[in-house]
Parts: sequence; C-alpha cells; structure tokens
Amino acid sequence: MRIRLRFTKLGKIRFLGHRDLARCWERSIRRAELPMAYSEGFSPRPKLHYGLALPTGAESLAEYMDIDLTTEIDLIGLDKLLSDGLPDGVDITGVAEVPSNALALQAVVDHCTWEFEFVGADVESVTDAATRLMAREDVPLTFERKGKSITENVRPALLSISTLQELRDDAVVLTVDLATQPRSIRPSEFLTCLEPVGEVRRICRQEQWMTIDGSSLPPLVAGDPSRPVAARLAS
Amino acid sequence: MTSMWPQLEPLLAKVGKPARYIGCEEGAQQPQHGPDKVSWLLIYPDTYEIGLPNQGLQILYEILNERPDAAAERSYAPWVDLEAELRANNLPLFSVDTHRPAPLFDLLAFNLSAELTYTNLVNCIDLAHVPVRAADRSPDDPLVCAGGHCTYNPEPIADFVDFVVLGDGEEVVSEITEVVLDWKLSGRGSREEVLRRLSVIEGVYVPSMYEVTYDGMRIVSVEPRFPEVPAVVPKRTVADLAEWPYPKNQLVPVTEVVHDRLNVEVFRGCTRGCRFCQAGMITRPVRERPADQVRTMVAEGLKRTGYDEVALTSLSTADMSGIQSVVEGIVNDPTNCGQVSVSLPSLRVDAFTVGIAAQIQKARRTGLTFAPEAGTWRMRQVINKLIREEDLYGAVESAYSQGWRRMKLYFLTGLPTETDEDTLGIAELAKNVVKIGRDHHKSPSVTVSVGGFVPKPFTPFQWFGQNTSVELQRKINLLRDATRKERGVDLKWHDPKATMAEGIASRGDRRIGRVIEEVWRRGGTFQEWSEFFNLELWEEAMASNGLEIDWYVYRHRHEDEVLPWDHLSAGLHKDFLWQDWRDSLNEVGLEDCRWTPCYDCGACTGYSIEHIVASATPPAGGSQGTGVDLASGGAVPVSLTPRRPGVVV
Repeated sequence: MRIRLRFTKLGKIRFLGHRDLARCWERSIRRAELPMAYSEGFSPRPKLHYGLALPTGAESLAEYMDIDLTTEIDLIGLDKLLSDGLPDGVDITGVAEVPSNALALQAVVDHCTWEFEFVGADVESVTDAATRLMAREDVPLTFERKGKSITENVRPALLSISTLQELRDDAVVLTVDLATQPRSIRPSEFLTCLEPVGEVRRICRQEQWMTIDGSSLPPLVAGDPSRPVAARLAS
Repeated sequence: MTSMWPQLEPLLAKVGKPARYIGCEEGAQQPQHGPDKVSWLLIYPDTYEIGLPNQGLQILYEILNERPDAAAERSYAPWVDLEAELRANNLPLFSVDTHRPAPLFDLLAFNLSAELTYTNLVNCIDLAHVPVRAADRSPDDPLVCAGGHCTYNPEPIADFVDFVVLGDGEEVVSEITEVVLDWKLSGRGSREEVLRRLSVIEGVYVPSMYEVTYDGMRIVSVEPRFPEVPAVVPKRTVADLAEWPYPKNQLVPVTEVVHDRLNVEVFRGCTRGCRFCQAGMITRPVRERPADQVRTMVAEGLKRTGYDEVALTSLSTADMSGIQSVVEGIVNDPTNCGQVSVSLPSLRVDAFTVGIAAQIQKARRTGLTFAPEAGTWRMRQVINKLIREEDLYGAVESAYSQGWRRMKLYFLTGLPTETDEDTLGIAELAKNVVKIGRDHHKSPSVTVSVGGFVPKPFTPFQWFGQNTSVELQRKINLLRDATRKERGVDLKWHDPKATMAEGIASRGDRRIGRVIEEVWRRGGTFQEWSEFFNLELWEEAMASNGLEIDWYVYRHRHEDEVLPWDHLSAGLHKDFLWQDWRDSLNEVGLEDCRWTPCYDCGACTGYSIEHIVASATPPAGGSQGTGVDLASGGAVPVSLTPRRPGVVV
C-alpha cells in the first residue's frame, strides 16, 4: 500500500534542511509503528519517496511525500499519530492512498506557487518591478548546475506574478508561479531576476501543481480539514 | 525582550547550518521563568553537533526543570559565522529552547569536557555580555560556573568562573539552586556574599575564596580566605545510579549530531586502573545501574524517540555484570519496531567482547575498534592496560572470522619510559593484525590512530613530564616510516602541537588564565578544531606572560611539589597515586579491585560508599577481564628496557 501525505513546514523548523527532515520522518514513522516497507540489500532503508526539496529557510504549506507500507492500514487518525512525532511546525494536513505504481512526485509536479514577503518596499514599486519582469521576452540567468556555470533564458519558467494590494504586517506580498519542469527556476534565482525591491522577509511554498488535461491539480486533493483522511486522489 | 527569535531570524538566513540554533528537539522544554525561580543556562562551549548529545548536560536539564524553583535552558557555542553576525548586531548569546538572551539568566553553567575549549568558554561569557573576569562582575551579572571532568583542575580558568563543581552533578545542582534562590529573593547582595555561601556546599569550589602563594614559579600554598571555607574541596559522588534514571526524555535533535542514538548509561566509574586515564581515576567507585532498569530505559527510550540504535555507555561496557543477557534481551525484544542495533562505545580487547559484538551487530558489520593503547607488553604494564598480544590477536581473529573487515586500533605515544622499541611495537601489532585478516579477507585494513599522551591531574602520571611536540613528532615519523610500505595499515595521528597546548591547560595553575585570555582576545576560538588551532597564539601568549612551556608541560614534578589542584580532592589518596606511579615505573601491574581485595585508593572509604556491582565474578574470568589473570600475563616473555634517564622520581 502506498500512501501520500501533505504537510506543512512553518516557523523555526524552516531552517531545517531537507535531509535532516527526512531523518525526522523516519523516526516518526518508527514511533507510529507503521508497517514500513524496507529496501532489499545489505543496509535496508525504509521506502520513503520525497517530493521536490524545499530550500532551507523557506516555509511551506504544501509539502508532499509517499510512503510504501507492507500491509493495508486504516488512514483514520494517521495524521495525528504521525504529527505527534514530528517537530513543531511540521503538521500533516492530508493523507490518502495512491496507486502503488503512481508516478513519483518529482515527475508529476510541474509548477509551484510561492509567496514572497518584502519589507522596506511599497506595493507600487514591487508591482512595477514584477510587471517589467514579465514584460521581458528574454530573462537570461546564470546558474550553477552540477558544478557547471550555465546561462539560460528562464522567462518560460516564470508563469505568473501577482501583488497583494494591501500590506501584510508591513510587508508587500508577491505571489509567483514558478515552473519545475521542463525548465525549473528556484525562488532564490527568481529573486536575482527581479529588480531589487526591499528585503525578503519570508518565502513560502503555497502549493505544488500537476497539469492534467490542461488543468492544474495538487498532488493530493485537500479535503475537509477536520477529516483530512477523507481526501482520496482519483487515480 | 525575552525571546530573541525575531532578531535572530534574519541572521539565521545568512549562516551555515541554521538548524543548530533553532532547538525544536523532541524532549526540549519551554520553561517558565519568574522572580521566584532560579534560571540556569546550561552551555556546552563547542558546536551544537558536539554538545547536544552530552548526557551530563541533559541530566541536569531535566533535574532542574523538574524543580518548581528552577528553570533550565541550553546553549552551545555559535559557529564563527553566527558569532560575527551577533557581534555586528550587538546581540548576546541565547538559549536554543526559548531563544532567551543569556544575560537574563541567573547562572551560566558550562560543561567542560576538554581543555582546548577553554577559549570558547571565555568567548561564550563575552558573547553573553558578561565581563570575562569574575572579579569585574556586578551583582546583576549572571553567576558563571562549570562542571565536567576538566574542573578537577579548574585553576587555569579560575579567573573566568565564579565557582565550579567537582564530580556528579545530580544532587548538588539542587543545593546550588536553593542558595541562589535565597540570594535572589533577598535582593541580590554582593557577589562575595553568595559565593561564600556556595563555597560551603560539598563539591563546590569558589576560586576567589582561596589565596595562592608563590615562591617564584612554585606554589607554596593555597589557603582559604575565610574560616568556613573548606581547606580541601571534595568531589560529589551519587551513591546509587538506580536513584537517577536520567535522562528520562533524552533529547532527539532534528539535525544530525555526533552519537545520534539513544544513550543509556549502564554504570559510572571504572576500576581497571589504567594509569593514563583520568576518567577512570576520578569517577570511582563503580556504580552499576540495575539490569532491569537498563532494560526499561532502553525499551521506553526506543519507543519514545524512534531511534533504531542504542548505545550502552560507560567507561568499559563489557565489564557490566550480565552484559550478555542485557544485550540479548534488547536485540530480541519482540516489542521493538524494526531492527534495533546496540553499540558498545568502549570495547574491551578480547574474544568475549567480540562475541557480544557479533550478537548485537547482525547487520552492517563494517568496522570494530579496539584500544590496546601501547605497542609492547612492557609498556602496557607501565600504563596498567594489561592486554596481552594473544588477547588482541584472539579478538581480531574472532572479529575477522565473524565478518568484520576493518579494525581500528587506538594507541597513545609519549607514555612514561617509552622507548623507540615500544613505539615501533605499535607498527608490529598493526602488521600482525593485517596478517591475521589476510586469512579471512583479500584486503583487510587496519586504521592505527595515535594520540600524544597528555598527563592529567589525579592520575598516577600527574608527575610525569609530557613529551615535547618535537619528540612526539619524531615518534610519529618513526611509525610512519615503519608502516609506509605496509599494505592495509593506515596510520592516523593527532597533531602534536595541539597536544602541547592541551598540556598547558591540563596541569596549569592560575597564571595560565592570562594565557587563555590572550589566546581568546587574539581570535583563538575553536582550538579543538584543526582548521582553527593556532600554535603560535599559545606560544606567544605564554612568552608575553613570562611563562615557560617547559615548566608547565615538559617538566617532571617532584613528590613534595604542591600541585595546583592539591586543595581539591577526587577521593584518591595522594600517596596511593604516588605509589601507583612508582609501581608504574617498576612495570608492576595492579588488579581491578572490583574482584580483588581493596588497595585503598580512597575513593570508597573516604565517602563511605562502595562499588555497586551485581556480580562478584569478573566477566569471562580474570581480574582484568581478559580471560587471563595477571600471573599468566606476567609470564609473557618481554624484553625489559632501561627506564628513561629523564624520569626523576
């Protein structure tokens, strides 16, 4: 049985790296005594499949992971059981069974929605900077991939930008859709493309999206928050 | 401002490994502070990764937070990048639990496990916005104190601490809390007032209450300044470990640390009597935790933490009574979730031990570590590590035949009376171990790890003049030449220059405080880290303070010399240590008193307590537990070499 979890990473725990969070997951699943499936071999590892890595320091309302289990289990109450063993700020907001041959999260997600909070800026100048960026046809970006320096036009990966018209706790809020494939751009890389507009206080992933038949769907349909396990992904 | 988090948040985005500073561990507490509570900041003066697993700190953290009149939080030395950010923004050191600023605490309590962290101690005091010298502090500043093995010679840090604790902290932290609370509630009078009251608590040493008189370089006396202050400060010892099943909620860090596993202390103290080993001397007597309590702590701990590994900790875990059934029980416990592995951090060198290791390490049999400590039987008699070559080869044979491929061997060099033959014996042992391995594997490998010996206070070697760094380097070079062409032998060594600096702090007196302060002022923090260790800083600081390295480090001490720590007591009679030193030079071994008659070292009799062991029979026979007894060990043919002419006794 393969289950898919949706979870948050908010607050102090945003400074925890992806690999460290993976270790927290392993301990939490052991504590919950789930019938975890292990890989074969000399040094068996639990079969956990993580989604797209979140940059250390960024928050998220929508992280996903898949877990392989050896037997069928009841999903009711699983969110509570697992959240108890996870650090504060990591909370499970959805659980569902997915087909055991479901494509990997990293393969199905093609874009993410991000929120940036800028302090020391005003709505108008941020909006103008965003508009000017989206008006460009060519946004060359030099970045490092596998130790090599590459320059590419990342404009196709910038899908949409909108600015919240009122301040939130003195910050301008920018909502941006960034592609993860075929060409990806990271939030920090996006910021280097944008003209400087104040200081970034917070970066938060709002949602991850897969494109199916032309429409965007999250990897797990968020259900009734009081009964998140009721959410089932139509396979 | 009781939480610095809003100010820290933007800084953490700029530094490496920010998870070091967020806390968030399973088991971390969010204590409430108040005017009717004593607040302790427990600080480990090295990085989070090294400091977090420290069991002593975690034990006190729990005991204090269980008290209604105390609140304890934790802090660790910030790495240089965050330190620069804190200083640039004029922000103080903080706790990782609630990110409370260090200056708001009543006590800053340091755990000192290694001398080279002393400059970090000073740095943390300074980062806490507290004057680094105790004499410059006002009643509003926190009290600065320290505990841990290094405090058995606290004289080099006497300038910086208000008081230190000798020995086990479980009971004494409560007594300190009560005195400090009383002082706090009565409106914080002078520091001298509260320190005088603290100085009469057993196990508490207040350096400023003592006057040191010198005659040139020699110490003439160390006298209390007030009548109620004890002339000799005894260490604290908890009589029965069973009464202290701590930590009950071991912290589970979210980021990776050293020893990242469940740790359960199975006994405290060791009476094997290895003469170089300060831990074994100062923690006597042996106090075993009852096997049932160990089982409960392991089972509950695994369930609570989700760890898949548990370490049974002590100075020599294979010596625990009934160790075999304890480890079998853990590994085969049907309530375990998944595979659980048990590690024994300090393996004894014998086949019995390997047998246990085989039972518990069913998967991942990669490497085993042994510590013969010296290369020849003669040398091992001098240091009282009575392992015969056959014991080592038997252990290694057993390990290779059961699937292990890599052996790691720990040795010391620069030991008393060591000759080149003894040093080269290390290479000989390593070669023979590889040879045994070839019978089992194509390419066995042996890592030989060599450390320079630093004599420590309250050991029989406290009178011994440490080898110079030049001499240590020469010995390492000898070993390097002897092993260079040996396939399978990989030699590693500790930097002899750092060994020298450790020697300055290990047996230094109060005058070394200025040296530590100068090294710190010139940027010498994280001296335990090879990338930051700076020999020139230490040499120049010694010279500018008119102090000679030769006097402090390389000189043999005389029997009648007043040692800087003579007014402190680890429970051991000084004449016992002197006799053991003489025995050592005569290559006479001493048996483990757990299973042989008492030789009155002083540790039990002076405190009216006794060894607590569940079995009167030594494990696997032999008072040294190696399957042999001293008599047969002594029959091993050894070539006796003349004593080093330099040893004046």
